[in-house]
Amino acid sequence: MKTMKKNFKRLMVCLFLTVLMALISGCQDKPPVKLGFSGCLTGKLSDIGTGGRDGAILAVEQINRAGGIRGRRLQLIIRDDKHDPATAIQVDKELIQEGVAAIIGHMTSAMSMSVIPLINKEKVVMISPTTSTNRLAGIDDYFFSVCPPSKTESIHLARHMSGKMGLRTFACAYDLSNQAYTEEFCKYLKAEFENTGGQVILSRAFTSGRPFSYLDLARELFASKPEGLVLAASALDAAMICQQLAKLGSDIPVICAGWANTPDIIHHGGTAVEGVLFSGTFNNENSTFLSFKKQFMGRFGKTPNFGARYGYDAIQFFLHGLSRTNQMSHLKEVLKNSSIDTIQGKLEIDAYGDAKRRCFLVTVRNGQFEVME
Amino acid sequence: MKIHTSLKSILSFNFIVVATLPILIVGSLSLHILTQSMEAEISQRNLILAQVLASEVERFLEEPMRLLRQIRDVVDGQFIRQGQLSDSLQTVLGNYKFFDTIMMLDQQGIVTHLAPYDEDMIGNNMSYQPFFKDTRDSGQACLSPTFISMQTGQPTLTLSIPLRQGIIAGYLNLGVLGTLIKKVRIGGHGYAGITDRDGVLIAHPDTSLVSQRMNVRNVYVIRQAMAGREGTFPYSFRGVKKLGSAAILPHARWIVVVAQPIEYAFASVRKIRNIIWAGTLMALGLAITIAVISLRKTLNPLLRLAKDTQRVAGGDYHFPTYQKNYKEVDELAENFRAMTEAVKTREEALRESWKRLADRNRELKDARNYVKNIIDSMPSFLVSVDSEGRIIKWNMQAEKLSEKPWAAAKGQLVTEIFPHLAIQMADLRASLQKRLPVKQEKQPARISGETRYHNVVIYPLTGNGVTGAVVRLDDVTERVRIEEMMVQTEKMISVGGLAAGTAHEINNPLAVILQGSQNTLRRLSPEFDANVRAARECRTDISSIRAYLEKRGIFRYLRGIEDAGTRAAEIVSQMISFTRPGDSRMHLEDINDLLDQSLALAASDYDLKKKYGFEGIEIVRYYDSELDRMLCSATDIKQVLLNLLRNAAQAMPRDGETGDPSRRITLKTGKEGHQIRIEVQDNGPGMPENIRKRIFEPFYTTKRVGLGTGLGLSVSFFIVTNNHKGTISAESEPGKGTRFIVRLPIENAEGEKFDADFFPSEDEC
Repeated sequence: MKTMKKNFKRLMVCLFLTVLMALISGCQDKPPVKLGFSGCLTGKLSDIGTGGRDGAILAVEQINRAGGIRGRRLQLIIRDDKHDPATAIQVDKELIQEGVAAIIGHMTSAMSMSVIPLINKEKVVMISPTTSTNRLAGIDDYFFSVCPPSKTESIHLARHMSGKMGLRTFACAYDLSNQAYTEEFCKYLKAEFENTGGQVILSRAFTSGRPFSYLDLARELFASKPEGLVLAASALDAAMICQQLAKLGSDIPVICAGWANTPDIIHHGGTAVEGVLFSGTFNNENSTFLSFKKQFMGRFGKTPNFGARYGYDAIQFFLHGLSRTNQMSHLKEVLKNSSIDTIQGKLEIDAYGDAKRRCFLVTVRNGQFEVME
Repeated sequence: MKIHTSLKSILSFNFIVVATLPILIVGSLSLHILTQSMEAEISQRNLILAQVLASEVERFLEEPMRLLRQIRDVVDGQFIRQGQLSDSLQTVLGNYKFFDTIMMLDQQGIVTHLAPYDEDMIGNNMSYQPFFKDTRDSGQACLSPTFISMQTGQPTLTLSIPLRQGIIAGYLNLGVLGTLIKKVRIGGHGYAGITDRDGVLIAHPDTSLVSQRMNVRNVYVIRQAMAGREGTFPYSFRGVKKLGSAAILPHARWIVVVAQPIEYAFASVRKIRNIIWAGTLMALGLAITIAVISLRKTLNPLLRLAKDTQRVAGGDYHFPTYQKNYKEVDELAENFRAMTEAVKTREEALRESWKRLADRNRELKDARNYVKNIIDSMPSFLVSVDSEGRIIKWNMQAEKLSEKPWAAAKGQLVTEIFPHLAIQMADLRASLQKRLPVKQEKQPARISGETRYHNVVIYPLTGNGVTGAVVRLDDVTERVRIEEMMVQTEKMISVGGLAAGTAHEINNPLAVILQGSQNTLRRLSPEFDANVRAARECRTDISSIRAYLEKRGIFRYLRGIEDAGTRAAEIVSQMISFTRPGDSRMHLEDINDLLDQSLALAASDYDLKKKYGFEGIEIVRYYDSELDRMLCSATDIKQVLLNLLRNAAQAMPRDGETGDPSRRITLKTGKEGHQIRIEVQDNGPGMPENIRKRIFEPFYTTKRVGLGTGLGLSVSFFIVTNNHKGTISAESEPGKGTRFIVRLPIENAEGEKFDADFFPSEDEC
């Protein structure tokens, strides 16, 4: 009887150990670090939004393949703000409720502006890939951007226009659907241009998405006979305006805001966008970028646009923060005043969470972007 | 490790294994085969569905392409004029709803015709559009990558075919694919999805994924399909394990996937698996039950036998009779009974011899205890040691003296436990060597701060080849003290008598000298008329005589004679007091009070204060507050105590003006039998034995000449011994201070207690 009891005990011990081991091995999986992404994934501006998302997805997948952060996987939770301020606030609230460590987003300045009060109230770090409005620059808050404020771009372009190009006047058209970005872009460009003795002879606003005639707009711009034309618009809108100008026989040089700096402007603009000038922050011939481009092509079957590049950078920047602290409440502090090497060269973040990068002049030549300097 | 286990467990285990193993093997085998074939069937079913869907989508793409070819034929055949082309395109667009836009481009990529008409679009340069390049370069019909149309917000595709002069392209709305796959529902949870050749979703039940251009290329099933493998694959999407069957569209290289959560896909397989498991468990349960019942019947007699033998082992030799059972068991039982009988007989004999042995042991133990009792009861200290001086045994007296338990002393060197025996070690060795006893008498030893005297006898053990010795110590301290005191008293009495006799003899001539000198002075005094008269009769006057005597220093000599005489008289009177019994009255006194009064006297003594800094000495009092008042002469006793205090103070020289804080006098009183014991102890330099023995002798002093008469301690001695019938002794060692002990009897010489009422107190006199 006794030995039988002993056998039974042995059996129970074995069972217990098995269950215990199963439990332990189950416990070894640490909970993932949740990370939110919100941007415009549908609608007219979705090319930047989906690009940013795909860049972020690529970065997260690479990090997880390499074993995550301190053994914890990253989980990217994606939301579509539909380029609508109310939706943007709504989806960010959802992300915060999910317990995300930070939010990567939004992709346009207008959306970022609308959620600033929410993230500052909830004390959640937001790293925007592409927000570049000057209105958010120089403020110590929970908002970071890996894209420099647009005034850097504006001043860079204005100096080139009045300097090498020798322009004395220009006309400009800007899109009110992303007013926070476009107005600021034009304002600083104008200020710098006028500082050097130039003159703005026409400034024309339009609202993308509402029915209007590109041709009429182009006619008006052309008629003002400027020496240069500045477009603060999305790639598709800029391409369409250029198409109309070409039809009108214009040979006025066109300068575009960085927003339009995506392959779409070439696809839709055709030869009409040849010679269009941008101020870009990356050199597409550098080896780090080429390797990123190859990985992106392999994953998504297309070339990365600037949304994708900045989306990828934003995740790298977040990772940089996590490597310096494991407490999310300290994230804001460790991200400030830091610098990392990104696929687009060196990125420096100042005490206000604003980015600083080297600027290049980019133009379209033979249906390709080309760095001028 | 060899497993030691019961027959029952082994038999049960074997039985269960034999019964259940076939069931388990057959069960799991059939489960395995069934699961595989069913899973294959389900996978195949889903794959066929995906393939059917794929061919449906293929057909959907065929139709608009055919339409574009027709238009090409019309345009290239120049069956229509250029001016009417736009209108014709508009008509086609109205009739066939697949296209959102149809446009014609020339060889440079300029939009020449467009339906519906759009002023902003006509004339635009489309030469950098991928579809234009692909079609122009390949010269074949092309499908562009999909994109979201800015106009419709739907996934869209550009279909383009080359013309003789340019190309024709149509924007094909893929929204209809969404409605197509929405109809696919497998078991409530299965669904279908379509991706383009880049892995971007173009149709999915969740339309937001489509409008957000979700790329699912990293999903395992899509990866497999993109690598050209059609089939069914398990994969995980957003944390859910799914089964996906992928089919590939040959021309567009799109992928159609039919997906179903594995949980639901294989629900029927799980059901059957559960049934098989339940069946196996039931069979197992049945096998165990049968095993237990049949084994119990077989093993019960054996278990009973085991229990009975266990009882025999426990000492109960009654072995019960067994009913006829299995033959083997009966034989076993019979053998056990015989064995039990044999064991019983043998054990009785053994018990008898044990008893005898126990009796003898007890006697031996009694004898040993008796001997031990004798040794322990001896008032002597007895320690037996081995040849190296390690303690082997001791008696009670030795234990008492060592103040250590036996366990701590056993095996220790005798000198470690009794350090004062160190000087006897040589004797011990000599005794062992010569095998003769060694005896030493009155050996002094300091034990707990007191000098004790012992007679030490060391005798070697001789019997049974044991080497070692016994050390015997007898405490003779009291005897030595009494002897010493008797000698002292004897000596003092003779010396005292001599001194007193001498004093008496000196007293008479001294009286003549003193009287003579006093009379001489008186008769030279001018105050007496007889002197004046006598001087006048001698024809001189008294003042002249005095002037002469003064001038010659006669008065000085006379006063010198008087002073010396007085001092000699004092000494003589003290010497006389040695033999004179005390005449002062005895009263009941409190010794502690007397000590305090003596201290006060000493403190006010000019000499002690000035020369010996008495107030700088620390006084420690250990008074016994329970002491009875005793009959004595307060003046005498105070004199004795003052002498002792003075002696103590003088013994401790003062260093410098500040005084030495370590100077200390300890006063102790206490009852000791019928005596009161007073101790006065200093921490001065002490004195050697030869001085100590003589200190009570008259005129014996160690002080410089002129500092003392050497009578203080002698007077004290006689006061204590003669007047109070007590004793006074001194103990000292150089460097360890001196202690005077005064013992005063509480009762008088006749043995009666002094009655307080009989002697009226001083107040009443």
